[in-house]
Amino acid sequence: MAARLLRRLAALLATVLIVHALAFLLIRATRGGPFDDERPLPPEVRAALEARYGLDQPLAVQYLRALSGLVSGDFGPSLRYRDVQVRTVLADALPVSLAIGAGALIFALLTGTAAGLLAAQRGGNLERAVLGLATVLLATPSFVLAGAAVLLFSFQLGWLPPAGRGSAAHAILPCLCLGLPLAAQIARLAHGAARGVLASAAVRAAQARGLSNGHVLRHHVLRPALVPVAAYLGPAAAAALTGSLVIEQVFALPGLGTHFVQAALNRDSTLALGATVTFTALLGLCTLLSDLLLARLDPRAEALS
Amino acid sequence: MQGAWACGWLALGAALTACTSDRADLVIVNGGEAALLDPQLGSGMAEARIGLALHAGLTRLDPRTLAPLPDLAESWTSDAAGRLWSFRLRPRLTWSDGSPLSAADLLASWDRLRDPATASPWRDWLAGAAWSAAPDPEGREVITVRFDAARPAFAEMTAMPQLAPIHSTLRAAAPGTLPQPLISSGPFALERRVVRDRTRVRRNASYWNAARVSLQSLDFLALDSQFTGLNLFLAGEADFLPSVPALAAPRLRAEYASSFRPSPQFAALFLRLNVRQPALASRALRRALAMSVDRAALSAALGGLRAPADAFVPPVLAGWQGARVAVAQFALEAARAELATARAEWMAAGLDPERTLASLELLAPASELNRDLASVLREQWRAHLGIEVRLRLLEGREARAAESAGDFQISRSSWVGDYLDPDTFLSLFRSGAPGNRTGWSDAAYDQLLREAGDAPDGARRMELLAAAEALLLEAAVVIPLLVDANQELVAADLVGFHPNPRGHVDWSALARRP
Repeated sequence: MAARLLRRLAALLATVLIVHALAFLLIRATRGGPFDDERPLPPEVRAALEARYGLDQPLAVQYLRALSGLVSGDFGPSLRYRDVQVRTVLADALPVSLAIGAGALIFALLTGTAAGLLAAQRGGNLERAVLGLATVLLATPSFVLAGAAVLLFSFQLGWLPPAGRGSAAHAILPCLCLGLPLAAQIARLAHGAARGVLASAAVRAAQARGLSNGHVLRHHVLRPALVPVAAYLGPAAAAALTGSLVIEQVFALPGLGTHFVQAALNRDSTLALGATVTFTALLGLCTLLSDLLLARLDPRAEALS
Repeated sequence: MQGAWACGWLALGAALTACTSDRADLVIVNGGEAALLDPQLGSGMAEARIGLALHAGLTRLDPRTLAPLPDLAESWTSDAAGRLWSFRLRPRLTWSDGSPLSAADLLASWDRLRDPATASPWRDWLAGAAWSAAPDPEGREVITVRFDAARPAFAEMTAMPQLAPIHSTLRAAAPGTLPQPLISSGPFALERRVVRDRTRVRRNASYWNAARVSLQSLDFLALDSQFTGLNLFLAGEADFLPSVPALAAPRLRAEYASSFRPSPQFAALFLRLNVRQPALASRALRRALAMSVDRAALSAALGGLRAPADAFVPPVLAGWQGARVAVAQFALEAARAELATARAEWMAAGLDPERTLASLELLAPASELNRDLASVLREQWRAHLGIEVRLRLLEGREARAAESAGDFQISRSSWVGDYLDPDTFLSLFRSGAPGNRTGWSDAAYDQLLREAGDAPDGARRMELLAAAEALLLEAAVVIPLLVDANQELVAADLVGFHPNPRGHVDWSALARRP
């Protein structure tokens, strides 16, 4: 077990290094630099800036410097927000993305699992409604969903603020909009698994013994129904983190996704590398944790192999 | 299992409350993130808005008239040509930490600004200047600045954060690093900054005129999306928007008339024409392209907020007549005649006119505005001249890099005046200037700008600058399109705000209506 875990961690490390190298090359291959603004810079000013941030060095030297930054965890200053260190930017942004992502994931798990199980157990119109709604939610782009939610909850009903931060109420719409498509997918997975379990001989025997539907659902259906949900947690966590990119823009949240996009647009190589590596590491860890959970729920799954 | 369910909801609650922040007295949607808080290094409007809150200059601008008013300097004088300036400092000035602020601080700040190692984009503001400080008979410190050419807008320029005194801790720090705390001299002091979230400033009790500062705190939100900014405003969560989505402008004009008052800005939307390209080396073709643009139709197609421009320098300056030349007007017959001349020249040179014209391409940074603008221009050139101009939309930085490298034919450009003087526009096109980018150079133009710098008085200087503008327009290396517009949306209960051509806001003068 420990050896397998170590192998997975080593693979994750190799992935981070490869992604880092590719991201470095991609940024350098893109035209335009961090100092290309509408206001023209005198040549001596541009030269001084490039020398200060090592952009006048050969590519290999720049890469080695970036690599040493990765190893030490110090990516240096952002080339766009030059008076701020990349690690400060990431330290400020990461909790926001994690909070919104975690909120969305928990919301999706709770509502998606409950809806899927109930749909499987009750069947009929409820089942059709849940599956239909799930299909619609999965097909709706997040910016459309967010726009509709703002229109309804902020401007029609006046219940929730449309964007920004300030209170827990501000986080409800972002979590909802990010979590609903995930909840839809989880509902479909839980529903499919629960349908199979409900039709099994074990459940029919439990029902024949006179156990209540609720008891059967909690003690005989829930755990096996959660196995595909647990397998989906890795991709779901990834979607919650990377999907927050659009949500952060719409709801004006200063998370990692915004930096990820803006750093690329600004040719801010240090921040772009920092954000990319952080995302890669987070996604790798989420997948690993999901596999561990799956192995715990279903020992047959050789999650770590 | 029920316990796990409850834990899940508790964790959800914790996640929801993890990203909270309190509201400031005034919330300003500041557009994109301010790149740098060092006032000598920042170069955008977002930086300028924060800089004006943090840094007091020798003067400040009257938001109604944009005339300079006393700030750290209680008075100033200049000679008729605007070359020799004297500023008399107030006594007992202090920084936000309470330590004394002296003329030496200001002079050291200007030394830093002009030092190439600082890499400030504003270096040229002090080009050709020499300064000194000495006490006057009453013991007040007097700063004397002498320029080698006329700088009539210098009193106005000293209101800008770029020329404000900066504290010794910032001067001593390596350029591009920000000391903590940031000590400043303005009506507000920096409280905290979270990149791409907000910059919070708080009233500076040590500011010499702190009594007139009514608001206790300001939040400058880093927010790219105009739609999200508008949502925040409509929900009462923001009080000031620098611009609004074009789609919303007509309705805001009708329903928020007291909050939304678009006005002309000292900023231009124009085209640069690259004379190094074979087709555009033809002056006649450039003139044909310029005269076939129907700017009134273009303005209407883009919503009517931006006025048609018939000159390069926006007509918002008092005492500036500018150049009125035919080439900057919509004149279809003249445009077709110029095109015929261009065709004849190419044929005489053995070039195929159709092939030469087929190479034309319009470069623009990708945005909704540019897409619409380019679409109208291409349609007008097609309809008026029968010329098919290809569109090359590039991501913003890529487009700027292409333009700077001369890799374009026609480029959609814009410029916001640094200060209220035609020179801030016209000096862009000096021979070899980094902002020129067109490959055009004209010794007569450079000479006119030089003579304007040596002019004995303001009136003569304006005549010379107008002549230079006429020369630039006649050469048709720039095609003026529209005068940009201020589109601020301001909370109705905010007093002290006055729209002006520079989009200048005096944060210290704002107050909430009781």
